[in-house]
Amino acid sequence: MTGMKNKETIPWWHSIKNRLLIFGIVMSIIPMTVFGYFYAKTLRNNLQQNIYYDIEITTQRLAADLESLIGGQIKQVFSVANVGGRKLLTKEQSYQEGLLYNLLQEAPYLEEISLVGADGQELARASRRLVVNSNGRSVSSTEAFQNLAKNNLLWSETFLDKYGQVRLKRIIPIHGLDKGEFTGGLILEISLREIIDQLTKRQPEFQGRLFVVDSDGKLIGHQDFSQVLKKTDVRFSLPVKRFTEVQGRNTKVVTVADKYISYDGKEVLGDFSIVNNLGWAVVQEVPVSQAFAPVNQIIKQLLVAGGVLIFFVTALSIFFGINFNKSFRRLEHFVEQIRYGNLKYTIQIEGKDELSKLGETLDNMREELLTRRQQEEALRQAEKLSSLGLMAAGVAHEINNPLAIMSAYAEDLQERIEEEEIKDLVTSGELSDYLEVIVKQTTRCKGITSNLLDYSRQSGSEKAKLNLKQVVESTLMLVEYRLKKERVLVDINIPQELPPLSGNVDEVQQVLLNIVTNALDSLEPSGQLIICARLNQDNVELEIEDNGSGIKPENMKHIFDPFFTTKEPGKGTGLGLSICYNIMQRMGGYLELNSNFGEGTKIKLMFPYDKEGSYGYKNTGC
Amino acid sequence: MRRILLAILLLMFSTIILTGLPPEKEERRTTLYRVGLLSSSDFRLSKFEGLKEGLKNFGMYEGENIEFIVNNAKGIKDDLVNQAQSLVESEVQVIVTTGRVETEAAKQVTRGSSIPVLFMGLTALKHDGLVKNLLTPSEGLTGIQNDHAALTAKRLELLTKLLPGTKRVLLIYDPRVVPTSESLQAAFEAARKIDIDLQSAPASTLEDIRKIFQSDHKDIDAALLLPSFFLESRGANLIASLAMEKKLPVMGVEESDTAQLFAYYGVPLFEQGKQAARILVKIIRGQKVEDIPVEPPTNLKLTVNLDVAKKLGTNVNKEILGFAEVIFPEAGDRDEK
Repeated sequence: MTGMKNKETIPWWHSIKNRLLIFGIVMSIIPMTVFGYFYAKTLRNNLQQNIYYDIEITTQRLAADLESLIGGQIKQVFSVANVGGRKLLTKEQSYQEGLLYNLLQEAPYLEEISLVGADGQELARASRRLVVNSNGRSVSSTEAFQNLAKNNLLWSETFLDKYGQVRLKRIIPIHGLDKGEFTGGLILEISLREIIDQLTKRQPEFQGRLFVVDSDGKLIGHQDFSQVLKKTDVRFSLPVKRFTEVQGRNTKVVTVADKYISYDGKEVLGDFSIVNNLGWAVVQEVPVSQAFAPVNQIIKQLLVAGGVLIFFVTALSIFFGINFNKSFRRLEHFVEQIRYGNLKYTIQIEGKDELSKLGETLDNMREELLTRRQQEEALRQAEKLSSLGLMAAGVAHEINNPLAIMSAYAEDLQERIEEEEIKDLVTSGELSDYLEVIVKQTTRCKGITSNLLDYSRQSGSEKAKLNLKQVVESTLMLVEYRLKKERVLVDINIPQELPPLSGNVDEVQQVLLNIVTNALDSLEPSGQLIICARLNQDNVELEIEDNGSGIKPENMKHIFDPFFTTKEPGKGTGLGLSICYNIMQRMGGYLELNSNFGEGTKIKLMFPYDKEGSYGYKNTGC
Repeated sequence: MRRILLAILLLMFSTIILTGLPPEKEERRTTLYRVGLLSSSDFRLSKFEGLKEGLKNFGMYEGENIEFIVNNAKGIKDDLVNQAQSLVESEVQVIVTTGRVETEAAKQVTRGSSIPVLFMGLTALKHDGLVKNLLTPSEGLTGIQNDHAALTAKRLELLTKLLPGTKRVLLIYDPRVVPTSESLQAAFEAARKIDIDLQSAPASTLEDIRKIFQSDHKDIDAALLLPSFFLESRGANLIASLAMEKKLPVMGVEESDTAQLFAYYGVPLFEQGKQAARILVKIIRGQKVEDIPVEPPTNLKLTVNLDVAKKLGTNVNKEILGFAEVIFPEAGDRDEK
């Protein structure tokens, strides 16, 4: 039993086109993303390590440079103090002044320098900005002189002068002949700002910012001098915190660059390095955005390239998906045509791929089906002609009766014309009655022969809307003689309201004739044949039941086999039910056979029908 | 079909390769900043040269990522406001000035606008309230100080040290200049400290200058000029020539190519401009002016022209010359010989 399934819409996720598209996009995004992520991450890590290394190295170098720059400012002063210091103390003031001004010229970052005697009296002073009183002054009570007297030769703490310059002082003693003898000294002040400016010239702007803090973490120099003027608190910066924490520890400090939020809220990479002999630290910071700008640029390019790649892959996926889908649609349409019996529909798919091969195979299959169909057609026609032969005697009898009537009426009319006036026969209307009977019987004969001719005609494959009741009645007319002869009681119950069937009228008639003929063959005289129809959910059911001899159980499994027959030779071909089965299957319907040996046979024919437009048909009948 | 596929693949790879290439000279594609420069005379344009030199340290090059519109009043002070207005109309991002008169003109025309003013070397800023708070200037202008008023005292001291035996010094000043009173005060205080007899003479016109030199100043050993637009531009040549006639050594503020005086002490114009470069970069990068403190000057320089000294017939203290940058040192050598 077979049935026709309706065409279903394929969900989008099952569509090969969409799957190809999704596959293309996913397979372009995932590798690109994974590759891009790890590439960028590795690049970023390597760059960060390199930047850390650079910062550590340059910070150490800058700290050494700062120490060297400051040391350079006092180098000349040391020479003067050590070589000609004692002699200088004895010279005239104008000479002393001249020498001090010369020292200012030699050391451009020296702001002021003064020569003091052992008693703390200032002998001479040279200043870049201040006017010096020629009478001199006593500096014995100043911290600088106290340090000088104590031979404490450290740099003073930094301080801001009234001009906004960061300065620091240093004492250089002038010893007597006896090494420990203190005869006087030189007190010098240097401007840190210009030294920092000089230092920052060695630090290109793209390498970040540079600043210097004292031992308390107070800002004393900055690449941007405004920060010093504004007294910006840089102690929030991680390197400054670390520096102030390690202050005073008598251990070698190994610094490591790090990433942190700096004093101005910016995320930076930075490190510090201690300036020997001064107790300061040089801090270098590179904003993260600046440091990682090359990586960010590469990531940006990767994203753009990825976007372009995805666009093209998507476009290619759509292109191939559409092409692939086009071939599939053609194949699908081809298969549908074959299913509906259009075996003359051919298919050809361009290319040399699997789909074109499949199309070729399907087309070969179609040709084979067509051949088989033609063979089946020939066989069916043969079976039809065979059944016609079997019906010939009955048909002859059927025609014989009206012919006998016509003959009798014609002879009687002839005699009356000879005996009576034809005028009277016309006037009385008897002539008309005679002719009416003859015409009626002629029409009957014509109907029988016409029905026979219709049946014998080779059927085509044209489908049409069929009225089941009419097809049943025209089929029964072909076997009317046998029905009467064998006094078969026929009970027909086919409602007029059934929806029309879609099929080939010749094929349906052949099915019905085969089944009815088989029923008549199995019926005893005065047997019963019940034909009824009903409308089901999916089909129109036609039931043909007889109370004949039925089919033996051992024959049931062969009942649809071609050339299987239980009839005597010459009474049947054995193809009838096999052809019926194939016809029903091709129509999209099916055939059910139930038989009880000795009791009778019931055959159900399930015909598909067009549900659209069938509203209003009632389910009446059997 | 194959051709289409090949074309698509070629297009795809070429696009990916092109999008993956680093942009060429990205720095060059940055915004072109437009800066206006206002100067009262050619004399002060040395500051502009210093500014351009300083900007190179910040990767800024004229014509590449910064352009200047230079308006020079050519010594006509009254034209400065028009010149400044012209810069405003040129929609410059900032007006850079070379001195006080230029700054006042720029301040006048930018009042109410968002164009900041950057000055390259001013003195006595607080004196007339041009800038009230040097750390947070709220007047829309910031820049570099040159401390010329404050340095008047040091200038006087150095003059006397360069010319041993100097007892009387004449101060020539322009009474119209705002910081003059501050300079005068500083000079008289210094004179008392170093025991110098100081006389002062105002000069607002060339006639005033002539009158000063025509007066009987036989006992004057040297003269000192106070900072002034007039004295350093239009008056400078006359002072130099009259001083030569009178054999009077004169010390000026800023070295000039045309008017040759005996000596100068101050911040070189070039250095003032160079120092201002960093502030200009901050401004054009969007930092607010009130967040940029006015900076004190660096690089003070003493310049002594020995050729002038020789012509004047003065004896220069060679002990102090070691502190100076000497012009025509060979003149001194010849004198020694």
